[in-house]
Amino acid sequence: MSTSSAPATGGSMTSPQPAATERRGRAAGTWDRISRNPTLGLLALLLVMWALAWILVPKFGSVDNIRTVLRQASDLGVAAIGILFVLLIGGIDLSVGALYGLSSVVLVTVMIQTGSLPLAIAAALGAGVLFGLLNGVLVQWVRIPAFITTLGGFYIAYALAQMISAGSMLSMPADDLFVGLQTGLLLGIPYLVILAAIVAAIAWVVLNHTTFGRSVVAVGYNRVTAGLSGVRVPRIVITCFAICSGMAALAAVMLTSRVQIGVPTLGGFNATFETITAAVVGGTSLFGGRGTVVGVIIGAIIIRTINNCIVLLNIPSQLYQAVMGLIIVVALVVDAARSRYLGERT
Amino acid sequence: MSGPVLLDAQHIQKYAYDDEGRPIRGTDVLLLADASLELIAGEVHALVGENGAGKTTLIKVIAGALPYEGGSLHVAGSLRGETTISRVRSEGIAVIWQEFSLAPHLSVVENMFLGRELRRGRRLDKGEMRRQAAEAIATLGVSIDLDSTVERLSTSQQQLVEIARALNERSRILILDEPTASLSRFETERLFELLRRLRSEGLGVIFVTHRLDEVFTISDRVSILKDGRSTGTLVTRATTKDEIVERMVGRHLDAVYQRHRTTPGEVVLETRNVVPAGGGAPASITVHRGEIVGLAGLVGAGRTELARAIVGADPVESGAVLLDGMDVTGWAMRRRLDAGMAFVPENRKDQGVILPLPILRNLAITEWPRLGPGPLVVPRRERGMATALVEELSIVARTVDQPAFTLSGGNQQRVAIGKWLARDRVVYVLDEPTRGVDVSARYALYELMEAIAARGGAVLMISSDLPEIISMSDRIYVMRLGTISAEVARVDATEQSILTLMLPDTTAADVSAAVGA
Repeated sequence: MSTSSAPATGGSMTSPQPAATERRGRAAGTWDRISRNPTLGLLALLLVMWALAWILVPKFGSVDNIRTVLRQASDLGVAAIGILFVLLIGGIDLSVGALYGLSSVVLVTVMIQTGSLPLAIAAALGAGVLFGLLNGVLVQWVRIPAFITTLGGFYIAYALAQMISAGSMLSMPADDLFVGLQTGLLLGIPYLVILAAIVAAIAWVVLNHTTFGRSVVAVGYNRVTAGLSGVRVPRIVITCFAICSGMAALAAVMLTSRVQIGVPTLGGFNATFETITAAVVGGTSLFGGRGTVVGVIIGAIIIRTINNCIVLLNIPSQLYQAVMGLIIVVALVVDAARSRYLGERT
Repeated sequence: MSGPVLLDAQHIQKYAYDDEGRPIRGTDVLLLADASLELIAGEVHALVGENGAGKTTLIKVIAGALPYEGGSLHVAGSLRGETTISRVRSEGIAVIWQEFSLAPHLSVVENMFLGRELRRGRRLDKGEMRRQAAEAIATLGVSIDLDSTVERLSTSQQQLVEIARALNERSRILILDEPTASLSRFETERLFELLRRLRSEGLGVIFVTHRLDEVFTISDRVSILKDGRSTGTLVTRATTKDEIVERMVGRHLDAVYQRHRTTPGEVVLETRNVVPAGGGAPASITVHRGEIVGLAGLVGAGRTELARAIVGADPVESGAVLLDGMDVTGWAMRRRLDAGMAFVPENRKDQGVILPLPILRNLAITEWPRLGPGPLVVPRRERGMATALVEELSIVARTVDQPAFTLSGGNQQRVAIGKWLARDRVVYVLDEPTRGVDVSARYALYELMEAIAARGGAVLMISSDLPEIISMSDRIYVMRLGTISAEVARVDATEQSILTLMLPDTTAADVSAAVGA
């Protein structure tokens, strides 16, 4: 694949190894540029998908439907940005989906008890951050692998949500602001989408223009060197888990506003799976170090677009899972090929 | 000792490889330049040389683990070109590496037949394997539980299992890479007893060691390597320790770097009876402002452990580290770095640089907290700093945006050091800073160290390169078996004296003779 699609250097290739040097030497080829800046490729993929859907799927192109796609992508995008931080340090967080349910019932319960929306939201986010800190501490200090820690975390959060809600759905007291979050439009753009965009902008600044963000990437690529260069690795790791869970809680608040009800089983493993898929489709490496906010957002929109098309085309929803599975496998294959191409792992 | 020639390696050349797996051609980057070794049936042949002289490389070539690019290698009379490990097994060569190649969770029997299990029909012939394993172990004159998993055996027993496997494979050539490094005295004697018996049965044994006493105890002949070249094969009975050491040290081909001397100032770094986390003897050293202090010793003598304890990469078991008179023993690494320490670890690719990250980030990583208002990093300041460093260090790169893996080893090392040069640090701890670096980059690094000393910085340099440590250091500490065995002033330091102090079997009398009190 790499040989045929590197036209700029193809002519002078005599053996694979000198070719590799030249590839690194001058970043001229199209494939080269895309493999270095995969966001461009992703954006192109999304546009092609939308164009095809516009033509082939009835009603896809309506303003209302596009709005729906973006609204549905907003909470997924927020959660995926959260998990981006954990994936960047080479970790994984499986508990994300269960935090949806936990944060949802915490939100509604506090709302019922106090009647204060800000307090309820703060409690929901606080529960998420606290949970993330716990995940981070277990991973970093107790040295339990992230996979195990967060798998356990999933069940604990799931059980907590059931206990708080006594296993049933909790109806949300009417609150104009909270209803408005779901229905409101600014210049035709749903509030939820604007909220996700603001979160994405903040995350982008944090990752690209702060000491913390640079440290996250450094730890992800090589935590030993990072530590020996003065990066406080434990602090970075724990903070990333806290951000991940905090963002999952925020996504849960957004999703709860869409259903206007506290659901202990909101999210679940499906949400965990979708979140990781969005990040990976968005070009995030599962080996740490590589991934961008913009890529992850596009990944979330791609997933919701597929989702939307399946619904519009009346395809049995079971097929959705199979399509998602296929997407994540393809995304991982592309990631592995790209890593090899860039020579990061041999 | 006039048996048939089992193995004849003549003028073996082995190139170093660059990051992309292509051999680097040129005389100063040969791993082996001209290495020869002849092994006769019924002899124990010792192979000695300094760290980095090429002993392990030569063994790997003989074992078929590495190809060679020049010279000839005859095994049992026939020339070997391209080969594979399984082919080498059939040639009757068995290597007992320092790191054993046993599968820890499998039993002794399973390990002995790993990859060449005996079968009866389609099923494993467990009975026969067990019988043969028992026989091979019995031949060694020891008793080892055949069903025990290997991880539960002692180091010495694991080694014996490897030897038993080699015997069972009817190996004619047995190569042992520093086999006594982790054995007790009793176990060592038992091993020697065994080697003598194998010799009398006509096997050829190559025995790599650092311990010269062992050369005289066990070997019939000894071959010496220095800088990838053979400097002689001697009949052990007819030679002396001094002659061997002289051939190990010899004269370096390239001129020794001439350092400009500066007058050291007050003490800025001190360790008081520091015992590093893994244990060892208490080490007390001092380093002054404007001084380059060398830390010599064999690999495994405890130098890296001491360095890591100083900078706080590992905790100490006991003792105190003082920076500028302050007790920093309880400080986290980051706090020590902020207080003016700098650390360049020995393993460049894994610990010194972050290969996929651009040069820019690799150089700025230590300065991020100081490159912007609050938590922000101002890209313009980061880039300006990195660009200036690239220029100052003459790092060969097109832009500061290219990933560190595109750089040569020498340039990567400049980056690993360069990240500590944006601000003047008080103490620089450098672990093998010139290892694997070509001559020109090496001299650039020397100049860098001098510049640090000249502006009042203190340098603690770990090096296994004796000429380097002698020419660069104002004072030298020698470590041996986890302890500081001597402190040598530059004027008293010779390669011979330092090497004697480094070797594990040196006696107190040797020390006083070497220090020349």
